[in-house]
Amino acid sequence: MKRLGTKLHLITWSSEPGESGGQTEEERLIEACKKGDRKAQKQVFDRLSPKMFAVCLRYMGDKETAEDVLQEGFITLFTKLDSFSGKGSFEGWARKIFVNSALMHLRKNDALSGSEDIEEARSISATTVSPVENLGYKELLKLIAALPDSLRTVFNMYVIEGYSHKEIAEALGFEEVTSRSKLQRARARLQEMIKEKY
Amino acid sequence: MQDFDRHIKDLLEDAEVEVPSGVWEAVSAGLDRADAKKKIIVPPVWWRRAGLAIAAAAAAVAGVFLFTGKDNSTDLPYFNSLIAQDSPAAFDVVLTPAKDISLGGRSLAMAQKESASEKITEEATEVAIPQAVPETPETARTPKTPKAPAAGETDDTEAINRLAFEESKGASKRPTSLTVGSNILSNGYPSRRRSGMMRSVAKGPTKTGISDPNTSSIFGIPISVGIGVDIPFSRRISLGTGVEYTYLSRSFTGTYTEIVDGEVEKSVTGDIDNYQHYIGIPVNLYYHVIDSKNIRFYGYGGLTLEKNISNHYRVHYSPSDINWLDPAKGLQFSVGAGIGVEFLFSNSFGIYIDPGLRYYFDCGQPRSIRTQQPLMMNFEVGLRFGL
Repeated sequence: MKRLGTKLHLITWSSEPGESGGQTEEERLIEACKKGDRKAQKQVFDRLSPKMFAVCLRYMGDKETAEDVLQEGFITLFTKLDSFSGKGSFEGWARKIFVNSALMHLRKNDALSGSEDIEEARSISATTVSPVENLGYKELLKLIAALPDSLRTVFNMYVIEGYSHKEIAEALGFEEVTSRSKLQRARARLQEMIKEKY
Repeated sequence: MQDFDRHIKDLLEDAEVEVPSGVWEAVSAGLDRADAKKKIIVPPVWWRRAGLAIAAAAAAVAGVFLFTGKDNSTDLPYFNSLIAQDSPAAFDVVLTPAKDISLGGRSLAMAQKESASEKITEEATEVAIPQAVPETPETARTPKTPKAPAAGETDDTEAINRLAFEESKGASKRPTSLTVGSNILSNGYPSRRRSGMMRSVAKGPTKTGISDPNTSSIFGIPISVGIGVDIPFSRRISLGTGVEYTYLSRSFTGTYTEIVDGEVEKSVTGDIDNYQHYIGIPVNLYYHVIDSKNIRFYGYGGLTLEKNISNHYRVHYSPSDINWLDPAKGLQFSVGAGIGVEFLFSNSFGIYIDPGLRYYFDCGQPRSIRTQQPLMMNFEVGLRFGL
């Protein structure tokens, strides 16, 4: 079973033991952040924020809201840092916080329960050739942002984060079959947009 | 996974987007606000509650003096009666019919008469007329050995002795009573930490449970309600027991891990609320220092045994919270002591206030304010009905 965090990359900074008692730089920074060291927090912010902002953009669709979620996510991250056990990837743990912040934001705005137009999912086979290979990630982010909230959320959770349909259904409050249907429609719309624009 | 999906995942999984300026400043300001909230210096909740309880007790004492009599002279009888019983040597001090006892044109005996039972009305009336005594107040305050009243001397001593006796007789007839009370205990951020039982899932989880780093719990005010009986053994000693229900709550950040068939089914890190419900049997001994028609003062001490009947965790999760019950085994044992005051509005009805201290022993119960701050101030108020 796929689970959030299991597929995430290790944090990008050095994890080699440092000078202070065999701690890695990551561990040293995390410990300093736990003590409220603002400089250490700024370092963590600088290193994580570009990736986490991309996560927020993928979920929220617009830059301003993504900025809000990024800000809330970092405040949550630093204030809840005590709950990070140190086992496993820090970036994976952090990413969960940002995904959860985004989901909570969407939930608050009732964006997840809304039903987009009930259009028949166009059956696009898995072998359909699309020019997706020619796309850069910025273009792709724009296209994903154009998807309706619930389609975009399911697409992100399944394709990028690696959630199963069962987990998505539980997290978003609908049936597994609905999750599958939304994923199918998200794929179809993306393919359609890619064909139209590129 | 479809090629389409895989390509998108490869493209976006580690994508980075330049962060607009000003976000860090906003985060930093938010952290400053969060820190400021933590750093607000307030007196420890324990002391605030203690202060409140002491103030309430003091107000109760003041209330006795203000409301139980019709003038200054009537403030004295209840206390005089006790002194009369317990300290014969001091009796003269309060009984010497100095002028200042007879205030407002009314004698001490009159005041006594108003407060005494009908049985002594005649005797009290006989000594109602104050006698002129050529003693100075200073002399009057000098303790003297009791002596028999001289011939013709007004026998205030005898009258008030009788009054005191009648009052004490009334107290000895104090009926078994029913109490209905609620209790608020101190809470706050614990100053020291004990373990408290938590089904940890941190190391090789095999069962569904919650991993709690025990770092930043916020505790709700523990509240108890109960019903009991107060059985008098003697004029001064009584036994109180009954049944009480207690509600404890706290919020913390932890990880809920659901294990199904030995595999992790779900793992959620976030805010978790914990609600604990206890049913207990308190047993207290009461020693009544003052026991009159209108008021009782007493000290008490005893123990309480409690059983956890529900230990409920609510994990905040989107779209719906996860509820998990983790029954607790064993009993919670605590000892407590305090002082109390009861205002009697009739022979069979009173309101009591019992501030006190309670210590909770480490009995392997789920983490709560009791496990983190075992010595707590409690403040009980309730109604007492004579049976």
